[in-house]
Amino acid sequence: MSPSAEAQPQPVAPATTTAPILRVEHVTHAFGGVNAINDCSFEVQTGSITALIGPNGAGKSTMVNVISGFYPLQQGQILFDGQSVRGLAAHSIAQRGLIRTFQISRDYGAMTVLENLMVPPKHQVGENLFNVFFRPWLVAREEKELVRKALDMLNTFGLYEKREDYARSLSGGQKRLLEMARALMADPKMLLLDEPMAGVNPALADRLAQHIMDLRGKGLTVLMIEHNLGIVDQIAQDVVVMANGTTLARGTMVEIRSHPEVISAYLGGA
Amino acid sequence: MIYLHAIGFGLVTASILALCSVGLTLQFGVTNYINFAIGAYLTIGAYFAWMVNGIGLNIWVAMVVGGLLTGVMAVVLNLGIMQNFVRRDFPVLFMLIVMFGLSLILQNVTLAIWGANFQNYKVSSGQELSIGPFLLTSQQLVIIGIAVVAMLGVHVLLTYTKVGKAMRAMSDNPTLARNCGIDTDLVTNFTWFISGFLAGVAGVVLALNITSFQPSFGSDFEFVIFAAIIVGGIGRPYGAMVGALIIGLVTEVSAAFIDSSYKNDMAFAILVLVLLLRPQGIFATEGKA
Amino acid sequence: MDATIAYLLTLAVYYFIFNIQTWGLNLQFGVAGILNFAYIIFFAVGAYITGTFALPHADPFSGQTYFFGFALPFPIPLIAGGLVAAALGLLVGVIALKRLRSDYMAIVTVSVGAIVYDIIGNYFPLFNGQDGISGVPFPLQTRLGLDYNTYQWFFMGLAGVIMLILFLIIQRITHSPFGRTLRSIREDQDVSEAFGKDTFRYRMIAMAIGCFYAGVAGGLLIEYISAFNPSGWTAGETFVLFAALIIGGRGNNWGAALGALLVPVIFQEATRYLPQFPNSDTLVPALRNVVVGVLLIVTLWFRPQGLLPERKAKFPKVQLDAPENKQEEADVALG
Ligand SMILES: Nc1ncnc2c1ncn2[C@@H]1O[C@H](COP(=O)(O)OP(=O)(O)OP(=O)(O)O)[C@@H](O)[C@H]1O
Ligand SMILES: [Mg+2]
Repeated sequence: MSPSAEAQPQPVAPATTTAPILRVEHVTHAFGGVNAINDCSFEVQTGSITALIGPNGAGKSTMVNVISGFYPLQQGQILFDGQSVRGLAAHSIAQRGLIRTFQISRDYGAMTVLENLMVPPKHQVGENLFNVFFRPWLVAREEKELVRKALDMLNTFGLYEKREDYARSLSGGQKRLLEMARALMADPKMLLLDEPMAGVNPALADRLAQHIMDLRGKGLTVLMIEHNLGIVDQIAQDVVVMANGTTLARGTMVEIRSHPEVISAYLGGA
Repeated sequence: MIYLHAIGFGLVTASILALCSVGLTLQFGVTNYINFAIGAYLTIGAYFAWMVNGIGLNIWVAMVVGGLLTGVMAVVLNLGIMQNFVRRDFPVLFMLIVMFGLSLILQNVTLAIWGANFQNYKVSSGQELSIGPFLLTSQQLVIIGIAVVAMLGVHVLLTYTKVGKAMRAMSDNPTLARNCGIDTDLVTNFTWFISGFLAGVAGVVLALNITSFQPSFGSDFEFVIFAAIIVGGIGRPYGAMVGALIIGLVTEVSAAFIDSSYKNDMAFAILVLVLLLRPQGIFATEGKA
Repeated sequence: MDATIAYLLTLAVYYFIFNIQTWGLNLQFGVAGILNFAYIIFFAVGAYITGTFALPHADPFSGQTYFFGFALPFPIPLIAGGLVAAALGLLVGVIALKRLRSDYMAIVTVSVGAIVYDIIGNYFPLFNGQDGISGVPFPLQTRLGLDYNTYQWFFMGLAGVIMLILFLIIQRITHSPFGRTLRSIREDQDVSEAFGKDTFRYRMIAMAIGCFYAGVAGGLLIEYISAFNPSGWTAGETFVLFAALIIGGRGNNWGAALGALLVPVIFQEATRYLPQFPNSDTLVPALRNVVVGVLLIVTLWFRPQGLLPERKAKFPKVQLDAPENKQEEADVALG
């Protein structure tokens, strides 16, 4: 159970399984006539860490919003775990195990750090009022289990001391840690992270990178948007490059670095 | 024949609605919270004009003065109350409570100052004219004319003036607008002035159209205004004009079929339909929703 | 009975009723972040339903016209009042809660308030229009055979017990995992949606429960004063409740109770004893509303969390297997 047991660096290797957990096929998304995403396709292998990179305005966040159901799927197809997400509400997609974070970190400010972590677990018995009134013992037991799990998680992410503080009082970096810890409380099959390290100092970015690698060790799949190519190099097996709303290239970082179009569209400009 | 008359009245109501809903929706776009006190602004505009009219000035002069005073009041309230809360990054939820409170304060201040009695303006009762198929008073014709002029004015403001373009920019993307060097405080106050002015004028012409008024008459009209801006897509001035036209026509034409004391409820029926079927407004592709 | 005691008894019953209202509003606004500007409508509907379920069939000679008239025994009318209010709450919720923006919630509820007020006031066959209904029988009075004075004490006890039960229920809900999810939706609806919470459904439940409370409060009022008409539930009344909740402390049921004591009971009652002067029948209520509005805005400015703020959630004490983790060292080793 102790998370630190996994804290050794994972070798960066191709994903062990080859079945994709997420397939994005010919997705197009328009905002009032302008295509933010234009016929974009890629896939994410089960158990991999895949990075989604691309210049500002490439459509990465829009893609995350479409995959997670925050924007309706207009055109194309998205399969998560073999099933289409078309027409599903955001919360239904999340219930299937696809958990996302937001580009700007968003905490439940007026709730404590610990309480923040108590929200995500799915299908809590105490979320049903019938149980609250007629099976309180089940609720109490589950609360205890969840508190233990949450405290463990806070411990892992170095936020244990902050558990009683309001989330809004955390620093920007601590909020990033909280966000990842909180997302993990939902027991995701796959995490969609929109710039999880934006605005944090290099040391913390390394720590977050380490946490993400640990996740892979536990069988999670991660799709993360990241601008820091050093970190992408360090932790991602697969890289998808987006530019102007479409996939420009796919492959390992080594392959990507030598891709002429990518160099001109992205790396060269950066 | 009665429908045609109803359409004529519909155009008048639409004109009144257009005046206040364009201002309201502009202000929403710029400030990003809705003015729940809009009904009270209408009422206060009507009373300002009533006082000016009472000292012997012509009603149309009184209307302009009433509008100007309401515009000034809107700016003063923004400087005194709303702007301070906005500076503290108050969430929209709480801004709405502030506005709700403000509406109650204004309404009761009106009641305290002017009492609950019905008042009316000193105007010669305009003669009825038949224009084509419509039967309207000369006053109602002037109301339509005022609305047309005001809409053209708003169009010119938004399209050709610097401040109008700044208003649109703030409405589209406030952070970007600020970073582009737009004096957002100034534009916000200007918007409040325009919105207040239009609300004051609308209050006067509404009072003229229903002949007598008391302190709650603006608030009773409030949800009809909300219906117009939602139908047109909240935050969209041109949408609000069309929304006003639709709501004005529907309420008046429906009064030919149902008990006219429920005619405003038709506006609500449309509001509900739009919210359920096309919440971004009838015309908007993807609105601020 | 001594006039002062009779007065204090009445005040106590009113306070109990205000408490029930502010708790329902607290669940909606304080906990779930729902802006229901038509809250008083649900109170009114509860009152009318309770009244007309308790009254016998409308007698054309009594001068009253109303629907229903089932002459049902206590507590069926009261429960029906709560349930109908809750059902109406769901109906409004379908329109108001689908959208993310709180402006829509506010606009829809304000409009609903205006419409319902219009219809009930104008359409006499429903609840006797502007005149309102009267002559609602006192619950259990004939059955118990109590004289007037004793019955006053009895009713206060009855209202007190109902209030207490509703308090225990609302406390349970607020501090349950269900309440926690509602708070999370208030804080950030998108994030909760991203964790698989059907936020619309949660808010609908909060809407229904809050409106149930409003309905029961209205029902209790009409059973106590046996009459009810539209002057008792203007938009200003909703505002008084919001003011009470925000001044007392939103998110905290004790705060709501404190606010109910301070704003509607103490403040409103105290101003009844202002000296009378010409026009004071419109002037005093108007000025009272102005003061409540100013108090609310001042509170939002200086103490937005209210007098008794929402408290941090408490959790069961848990002993960790591996207390202070060695995570930092692991990271350093890696670096
Ligand atoms: N809600 C919206 N309405 C209209 N246009 C939008 C909206 N959201 C994004 N866009 C546009 O779509 C394009 C893609 O935006 P997106 O946020 O997906 O980019 P991104 O790749 O995440 O960029 P960044 O690296 O800066 O986060 C941009 O041109 C943006 O202006
Ligand atoms: Mg982005």
